[in-house]
Amino acid sequence: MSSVMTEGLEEELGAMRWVLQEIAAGNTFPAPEAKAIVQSLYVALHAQDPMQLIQVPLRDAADYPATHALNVSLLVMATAGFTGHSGADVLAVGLAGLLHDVGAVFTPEDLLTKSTPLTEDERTILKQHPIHGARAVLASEDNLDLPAIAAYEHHVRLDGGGYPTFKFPRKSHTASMLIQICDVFDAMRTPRPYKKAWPDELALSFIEERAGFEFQPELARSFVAMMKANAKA
Amino acid sequence: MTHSEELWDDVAGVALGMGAPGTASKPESVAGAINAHAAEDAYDAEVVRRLVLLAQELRHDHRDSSAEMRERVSQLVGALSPAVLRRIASLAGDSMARRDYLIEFNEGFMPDVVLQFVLSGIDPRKQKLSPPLVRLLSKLASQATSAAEPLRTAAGSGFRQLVRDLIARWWLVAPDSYSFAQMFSEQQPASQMTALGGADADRVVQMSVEIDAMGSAVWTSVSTMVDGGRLRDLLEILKAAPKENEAVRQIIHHLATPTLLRAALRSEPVDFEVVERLLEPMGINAARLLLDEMAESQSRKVRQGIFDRLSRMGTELGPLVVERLQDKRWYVERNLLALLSELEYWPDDLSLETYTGHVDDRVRKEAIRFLLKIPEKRDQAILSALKQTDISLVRIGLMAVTDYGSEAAVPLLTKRIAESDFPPDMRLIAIRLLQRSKSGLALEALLKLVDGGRNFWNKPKLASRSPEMLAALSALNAGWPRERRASVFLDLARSAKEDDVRAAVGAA
Repeated sequence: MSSVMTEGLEEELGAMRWVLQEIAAGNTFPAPEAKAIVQSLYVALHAQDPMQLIQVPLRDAADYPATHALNVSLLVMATAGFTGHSGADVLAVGLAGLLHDVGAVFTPEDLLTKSTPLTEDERTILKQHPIHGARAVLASEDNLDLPAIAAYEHHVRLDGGGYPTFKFPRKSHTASMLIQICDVFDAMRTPRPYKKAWPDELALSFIEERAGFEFQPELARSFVAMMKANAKA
Repeated sequence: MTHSEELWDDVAGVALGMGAPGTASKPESVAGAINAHAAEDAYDAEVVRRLVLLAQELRHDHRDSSAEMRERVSQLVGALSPAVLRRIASLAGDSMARRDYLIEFNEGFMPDVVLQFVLSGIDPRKQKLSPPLVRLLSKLASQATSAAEPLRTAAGSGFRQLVRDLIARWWLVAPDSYSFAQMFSEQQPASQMTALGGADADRVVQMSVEIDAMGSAVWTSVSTMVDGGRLRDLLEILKAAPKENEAVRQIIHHLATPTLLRAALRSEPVDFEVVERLLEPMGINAARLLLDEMAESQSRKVRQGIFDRLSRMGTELGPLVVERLQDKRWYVERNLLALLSELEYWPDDLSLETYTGHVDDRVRKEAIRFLLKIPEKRDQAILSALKQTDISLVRIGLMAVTDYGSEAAVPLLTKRIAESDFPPDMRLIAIRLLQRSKSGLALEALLKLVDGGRNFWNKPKLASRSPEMLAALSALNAGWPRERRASVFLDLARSAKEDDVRAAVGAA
């Protein structure tokens, strides 16, 4: 459905692997590299005019975190561009999309790749990743407010379900809600040890069906429209 | 000849060591001359200076000829030997000069030139450039040079922005993530959706409190709220968090400044819970400001609120309060005396007598209350109170005698009892207080109250019934039951027809 530029994004993929390693090691937060990745992805989206969606296929299961980060960043930037947002907004939300799941580097890998259902304890550990992610991003010397927020909020549903639970009741940030849609979509269309990849059409139907209670409806409609427009292109 | 061509000639002239050589000077020739020149700081600096002038000229020049000139500079730099490029780019270790030329080169020259200067001039001790970042910059520089449009322009813009970000990071010349995206903001139509790319400060602070984490983004949000006059909103968020929250502790500590405390005390209405959160880390350091605000505030509620907080600071505050007694406004003096009283701080050199004779009743009252708390000065305070014309002060004196007793007060009590305009209720109190004294003066005063003179048969008779007379009988019965003169009146009372008279001596 979309033009795939696997060769063209090797530098970005390699850089994202490095970014995740640095975060996992507790080194200085690699904000310049993360920004450079997003800048480069943004440029890649300009390969054609108007902005065309590209995606990075998963080659190796171990590469899922970096691949997923790139794809979510690309998906949110493409959606934001498709809906007429400014370049500033597109880049900002792209960076938030890239870093939304960095907290997962602090989750034991066997949990992330487990092929059987998670126990309650394991689920509790997994649900900590938005908090770990937000903390890691906040520790950056740069003001990465939106990425920290998205890392924290991207599993909170429109109807208040999901996790974490806010002490101060509020709606998630628009960027978080868009990233949530792209996150779910990319997770569904990607094969994982515990599930097969869903066809794009099925994943899009899933998004459409849950618009209004799980996903923000306007954003869900925009995302689906962007995907369909790219499929025709 | 264009101005940029003249500037190119200047570069070539410096490099080749001659006057204006004309536009024919090829980049390779100029590079060859620079490569061949002996290492000399002044020479390197002059070459760079001329290049900076050219970059400044090209920055705003978007004609075709400027593209050709940028290409010429790329060829020149590309032809420099790595060692010479490193030498020139380092500018003899002058860090700020490196920053200045990088800023100009980044805006005026092609990304490949900028990248070479970035890589060659970097100070590895202070400026980190990771391999992935170098690869991404190289990719963008390459795309900016050779890719087709619109990718070429996007890559050039992206590259320049990343270098701006690095310059800001390395030399702390400007913030951050906003500039990262800022350059695109004027290239695209405004968003139809709200605030996709911007984070609201409240949300950042709320998250910080929820996950108990701090960072640059939180500090920025805190500043945004404070600078936007939203200290109260910020503190509302912090108030909701448990005190052991480290993020809250850090933010409060940061906020606990005299400026913000003053703002909190001058807001309408004052939220003293907020004030207390600010006071916690400031402690006694906030005292002067609180004393200032207590003296100046027009609101009684605010003054009382400040007073309450000051009074909990302990005697450490005492000297500061005494110092403030130089302020002769009556309400300031009264409040300070009340505060000293609450603190139970009374240095020997503080003359409270000055204040018991103050022209203002309210100050006198406070001074008397204060003196009453000091055991060795209590009699003095009581006497001072009982002498007052202000009835409320006299009442304070009577209450003090009731609570503590005071033989020294007896003369004044007897005097006040005898005054015709002394309020009846207080006269009663004073009469009852005399019962505690064993002095003859007290006895005489009481006898005078019960003595009704002589009857027709020249026998002693009781005074007319009155509350005072009954109280005096009661006092005599309790204090002098066997005293000869008192017994006369007590016996008369016991045989009186009136129930209340007999009751006063316990014979009802």
